[in-house]
Amino acid sequence: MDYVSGSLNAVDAALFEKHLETCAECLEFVAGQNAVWQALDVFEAPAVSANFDRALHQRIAQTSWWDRIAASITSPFRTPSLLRQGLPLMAAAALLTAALVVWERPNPAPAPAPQAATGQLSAEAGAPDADVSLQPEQMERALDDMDMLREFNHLVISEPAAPPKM
Amino acid sequence: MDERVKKNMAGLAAAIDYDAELMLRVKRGDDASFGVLLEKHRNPVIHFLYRMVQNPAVAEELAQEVFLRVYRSRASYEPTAKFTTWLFRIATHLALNALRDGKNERKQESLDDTIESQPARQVSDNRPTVEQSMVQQARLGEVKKAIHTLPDKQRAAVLMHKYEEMEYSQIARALNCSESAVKSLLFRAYETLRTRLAHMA
Repeated sequence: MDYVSGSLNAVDAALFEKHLETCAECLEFVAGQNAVWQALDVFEAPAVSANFDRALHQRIAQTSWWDRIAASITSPFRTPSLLRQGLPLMAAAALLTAALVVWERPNPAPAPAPQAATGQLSAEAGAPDADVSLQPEQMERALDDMDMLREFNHLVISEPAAPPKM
Repeated sequence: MDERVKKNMAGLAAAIDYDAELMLRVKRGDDASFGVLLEKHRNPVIHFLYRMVQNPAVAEELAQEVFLRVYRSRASYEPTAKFTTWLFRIATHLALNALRDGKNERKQESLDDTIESQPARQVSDNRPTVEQSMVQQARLGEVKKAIHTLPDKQRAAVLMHKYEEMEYSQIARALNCSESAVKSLLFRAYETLRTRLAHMA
């Protein structure tokens, strides 16, 4: 095989050729191997697609972000860690998110102004997700608050100062 | 002590293998070196895979996976073997898996269709006659069939030996077997091919 493939060194090749002069069996074997070797030459591969490299680089770009994260987690002391660099940012983002959640949470005891609350309710009633933004308990509470304020206005404050007739 | 020997060996391998040196640069974050490696080894890897699975689309798909794995494993790369050996070890592993899973069969038309779809690629120099082209295509078809029917490991060994001109030791590492096992695989494979292609001589 080495002789036919040309990988035999010159000295060994010369010795083998000397042997071939006297050995019909080896000569026949070499002839057969040569025929196979030459026949295999016809099996050429087609040209590679022009976009092979581009497709590969796209795949690399897609995965490299995750690779960097994984590398940061698996070897935090060997490479400049993306995770460590991003930690303050991540913490800040988490705090901001928490603050927003608290801000958005419905206040358990608000006393909205009657006019504003009514306007809000009527506006939200028409919205498709009105039931999501305003719970029935909140509505009830708001109505109670409005009644209470109306009563309070009626009893405590005698009569609102009517504008003088001109 | 072992660690030092290992490091020395790695350094020696890198010194004699420029590809390994390039891969070490990739490890240090030099993506341009990866481009050099890709440029150098793209065609041999795709051609090897094409001859293994005999389907150009599957071969390129597998080659993408090979280079993607090379890139992904850059952080843990140690030049303990020749770079091409490592590369072909990955390629062979993926090709054998694809053959086992029948991946090439799903996308492949019949072997004859593939042969017909490659008009006179090998005989384009001297403007062959139709008859010569047909003879050439028939020969190519015979060779492809003969290689296709070899057992997977024998096929891989022959392709690395014949077309990639790899040494027995490299083929042995790529196939994860001994050198003597490789010689045995090659001997049996060439004998089979000789029998099947005898009429072409």
